[in-house]
Amino acid sequence: MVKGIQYFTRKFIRGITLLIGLSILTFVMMQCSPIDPISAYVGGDTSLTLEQRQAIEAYWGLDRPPIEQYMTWLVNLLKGDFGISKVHGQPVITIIKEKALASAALMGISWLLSGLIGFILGVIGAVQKGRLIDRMIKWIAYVQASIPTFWMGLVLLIIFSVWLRWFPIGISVPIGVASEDVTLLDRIRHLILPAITLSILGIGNVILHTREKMIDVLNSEYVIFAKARGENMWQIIKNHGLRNVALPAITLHFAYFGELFGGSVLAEQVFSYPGLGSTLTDAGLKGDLPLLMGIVLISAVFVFAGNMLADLLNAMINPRLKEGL
Amino acid sequence: MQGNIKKILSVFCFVIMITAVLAGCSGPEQAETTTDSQQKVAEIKDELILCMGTRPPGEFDPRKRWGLYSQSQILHDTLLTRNAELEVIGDFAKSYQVSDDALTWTFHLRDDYKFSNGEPVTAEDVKFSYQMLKEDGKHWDLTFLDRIEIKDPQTILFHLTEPRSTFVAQLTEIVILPKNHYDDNYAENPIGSGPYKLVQWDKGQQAIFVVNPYYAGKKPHFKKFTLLFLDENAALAAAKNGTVDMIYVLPEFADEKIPGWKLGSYESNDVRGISLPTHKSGYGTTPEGFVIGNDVTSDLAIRQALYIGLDRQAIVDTVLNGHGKKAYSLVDKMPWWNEETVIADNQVEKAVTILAEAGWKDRDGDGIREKNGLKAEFNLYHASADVIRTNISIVVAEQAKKLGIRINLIGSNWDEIKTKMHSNAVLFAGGRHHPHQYYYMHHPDLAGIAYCNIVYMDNPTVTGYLNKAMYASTQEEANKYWKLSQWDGKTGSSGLGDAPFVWLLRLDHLYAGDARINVGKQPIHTHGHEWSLLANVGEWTWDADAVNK
Repeated sequence: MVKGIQYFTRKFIRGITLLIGLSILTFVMMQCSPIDPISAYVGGDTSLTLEQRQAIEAYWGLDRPPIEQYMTWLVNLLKGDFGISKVHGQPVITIIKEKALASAALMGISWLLSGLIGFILGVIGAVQKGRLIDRMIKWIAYVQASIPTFWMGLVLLIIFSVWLRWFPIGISVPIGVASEDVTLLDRIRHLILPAITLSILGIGNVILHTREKMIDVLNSEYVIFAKARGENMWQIIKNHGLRNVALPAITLHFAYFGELFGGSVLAEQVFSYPGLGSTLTDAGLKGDLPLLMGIVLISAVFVFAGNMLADLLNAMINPRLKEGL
Repeated sequence: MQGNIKKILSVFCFVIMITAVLAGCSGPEQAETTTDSQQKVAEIKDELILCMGTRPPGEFDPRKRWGLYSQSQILHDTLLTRNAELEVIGDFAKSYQVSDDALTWTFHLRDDYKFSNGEPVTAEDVKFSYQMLKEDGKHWDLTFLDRIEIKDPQTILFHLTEPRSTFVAQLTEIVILPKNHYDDNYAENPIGSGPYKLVQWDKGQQAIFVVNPYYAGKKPHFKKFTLLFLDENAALAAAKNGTVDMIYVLPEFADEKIPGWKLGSYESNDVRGISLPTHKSGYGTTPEGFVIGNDVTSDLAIRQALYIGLDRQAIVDTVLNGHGKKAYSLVDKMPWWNEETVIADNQVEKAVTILAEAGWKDRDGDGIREKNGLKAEFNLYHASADVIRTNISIVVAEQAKKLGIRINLIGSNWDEIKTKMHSNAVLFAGGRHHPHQYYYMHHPDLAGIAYCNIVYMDNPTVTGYLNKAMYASTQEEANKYWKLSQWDGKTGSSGLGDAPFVWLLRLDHLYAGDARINVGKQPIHTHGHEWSLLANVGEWTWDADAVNK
């Protein structure tokens, strides 16, 4: 129990320092970036008078020294205020809430799909080791690992949206339809292609690790013993395989939150899907510091939570690891 | 539940269609008429889906720059407006007068305009809109506005602190806001008196507009249009998949063919050119402390040689695939443009003579001319993130070699360029539906402030004309002086005179869309490609018989 509390305190402190470090890094990088937020905001309009420019600088607080800007931001954040987005002129937290739901649906579905499909294919590959089906699965995994997400997205878009016209070209709602008339079915239809693109991203890793581990398990003495007892393949997998094999898959898959988020940036960009990813890109390109910092922090918390969950689940599934907590 | 009904309905329609087709097959004569009439019904289209960039410029709120990119007339009315010939005509103001001292502008207002919520548009709303934007001070320069006086409900007076004939710029751009319904969340539900009203805005996805039932002008043909916010690649995919009716396109995509579509190309005064500092080094520093002057570009012969020696058409063909026009000034084709500034270019021999006569000769045989030991060489800064500007710079540097001038290209960003632009050449852009930009880019009083007059142009004759134009009480009089300031037969701000800028080309704004959409008479577009075409969306019609040739 005490150990548990110690563990969480340690993790908590690590998380907080990580967030502070990350926010400083983001801030410094934006300060060094060649993007002038005002020019980016006004679209390079050269007609801005000096007075107008100063008014905008004062409004955004850009006329203060960088350290003061950062401290103001930090103090406001501690009060729960993420600031106002420069580009959208809305509270950052409102924008994040709006976009996070769309992203959560996309990432959640993709995450589950890639985990399940990867795991199943990995197990099949191990059981059929060396046969044609195994070689095909391995081939899929290698090819997937070497294909960039956005390219996959573009290919799917061209095949299924442009040629076959099965799916819409992008965005998350039907075009020109009032929001009260949009059905759940519509939303799902718009989610399918981006979700497939994003889920393909994680499959390769899960397949290869699961397959390796399953091969180890199938060669272990306890499986030979189980075989000797007359258990069939399914029973062996169910009784001795899954729990052992799930370990690397789960660790990997939770730790893959970071990549998932990175992938969603690209998938959302390709499919014009209005989630956190495309908002993040926009904020970066327009030098919208409050919005960028807000999304970076939220995504850091998300990735950190993923890694922590991976540790905790590992411990639950594998009692041997509890010692390490 | 609603979804179910829709599904059942669509299945029902499908069954009917199949039946109709089958019925058509059994009786050939009947089939002909059936399909014919069906097509006729389908062909009169009154809804559009368009793709014009990834976000609404100015986001429907003038405090976020709405109106600055000729989009005022979609949702709103303005006091004055410009027709397709760019003449100033009345909008909410039926007529206006400017006092002889040019300090008081009187507007006679209409009484039949209504906002999309049914409330009348009043003089109070006008006063509120201008006052609010003046106080905000961020995106609209109204510093010269002293006070606004409502004489009676149909007459409003603007008192200025100094004469300003270019006030028409703001008068045609600042939208009239409803005083009682304007707050920080205005952009979510923008109430205006224009032809359309915004009914839904899914941020980052789409905006849906329908006809404003209270619009006082001619009812638009298209009852509804949806703007999709897709980037250029996604927009092209959407066009090929048949989702959208029209998209804006970049020159590199202009040759994509889509059945039934045509490419619309519209002239603009979205100009690109090179700024050339007009003073020698050691001239001093700007108010912000940046160095002024360049020993090579300050020589008039260098500037004039570039003005006539460069091959503009070659730049248009290489950089824009031909989708552009040659440019000779910042204000080409505008009512205040002096047409004498058009010259024959690509005159390499004449340019070489000008240089030789001024003492620029290649004595050491390295291909670069020199004068008193100074090489004919200067730096050209360009924003490297902008592909078009970068490519223009490369072609210009290549062409200048023929004249014996070496141009060193420096790809950079605006933060650095801002500190170097008073002492080096810069690949510059411009283009407005008003002459104010022209004024501040050539007037010595504004030299060195922000992006105003970066070349430190200071020609007393030109300044005299600029002042007269600014103090003019009619647009005609103002235009007369704007023209004289470019070239009066002896001197001027154009390439014939001091040539502080060598303007090179104007981009054509390209849009691809269903050949049957008639976008009416388009004025010459300004800087800002995406939404330019939409400025008159209320006048668009559907030509069922038009086909792609």
